Amino acid sequence: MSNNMSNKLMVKVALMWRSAEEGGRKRPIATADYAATAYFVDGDRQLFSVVLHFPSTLQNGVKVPQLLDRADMDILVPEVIKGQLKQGASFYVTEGARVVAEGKISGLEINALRDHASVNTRSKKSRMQRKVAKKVAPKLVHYQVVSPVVKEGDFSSSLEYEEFHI
Amino acid sequence: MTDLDIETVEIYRSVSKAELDDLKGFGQFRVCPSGCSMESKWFALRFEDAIAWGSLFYEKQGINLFYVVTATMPRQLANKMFYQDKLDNIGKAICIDEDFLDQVKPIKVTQVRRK
Repeated sequence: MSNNMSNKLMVKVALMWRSAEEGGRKRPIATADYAATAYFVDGDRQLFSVVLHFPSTLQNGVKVPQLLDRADMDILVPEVIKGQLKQGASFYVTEGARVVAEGKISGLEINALRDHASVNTRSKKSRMQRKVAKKVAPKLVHYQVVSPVVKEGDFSSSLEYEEFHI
Repeated sequence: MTDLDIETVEIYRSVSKAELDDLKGFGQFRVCPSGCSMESKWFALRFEDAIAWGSLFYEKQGINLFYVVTATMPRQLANKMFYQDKLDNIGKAICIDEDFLDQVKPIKVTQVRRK
C-alpha cells in the first residue's frame, strides 16, 4: 500500500431496538446516519462514539433509512476498542445512560482510503468513492487504526478559529 | 435565590451548520423533533475536547467546517448528568437528556475550519 493510503474499518452490525417502554427511544430514527455511543457487553463497558449508517434511499435529495435492523457501524476512535472487535461480539447502543438497542457484529471490513493530505486535494465526490473493499477473515481483526490517539493540541495547528456571539 | 446566585459551569459542543441554524432559530438546544438525532446531547467540559470531537467526527464526513458552541448550565444540574471520564480517549463529557436541555444557555460560537 502506498504512503498516501490508510485503512478505514467498517463494522457490519445487526440491531434490535428497544421500545420506549423498555427504555429505548421515544421517537423512531429518521436519519440514515445516526450518531450515538456504544459499549461491548463483555468488555470493560467503556463507551465509544459510533455512527450507524443504515441502508437508505434518496428522497428529494435526502437520505432516508429503509431498514433499521442492520447498519454499517463507523467507530470514531477505533483504538479505544482495539481487541474487542470480533465477529459475533454483542454490544449495546446507548444514548447517555439509556440502552436503546442491542447489537451484534455480523462482519468486519477494511476499506482502503486516501489519507487526509491527499484527500484535501481531491474533490469530495472522488474522496467518497475512492475505496477498495477488502474482506477480512471473520476471526482475524487485523486493521490499522485510521484515527490517531487523540492528545491535547493535536488539532490546533491545522485549524482556524473565528468567534462570534449567539 | 436569583439567577445571579446560581453557580454555572461552561460546557462545549461541536455542531454542524444545520444544528447551529436550529439552535439560532429555536433559541436553545433541542433534539431533532423528527427523530434525526439522539434524544440527548453530549457536551465536552473543555473547549479543546469539543474541537477534538468535531475534528474527528466531521473530517470523517469530509466536512471541513464546523462550530463549537460554548454554553453554560447550572453546576448542580451538570453534576447530576450522566458522564464519561474519557470518552473516545479524548476527555470528560456529559450527556444531557432532552428534558434538561432548556437549562443549557448558549453564549458563544466558534467557527472552526480545517486549513
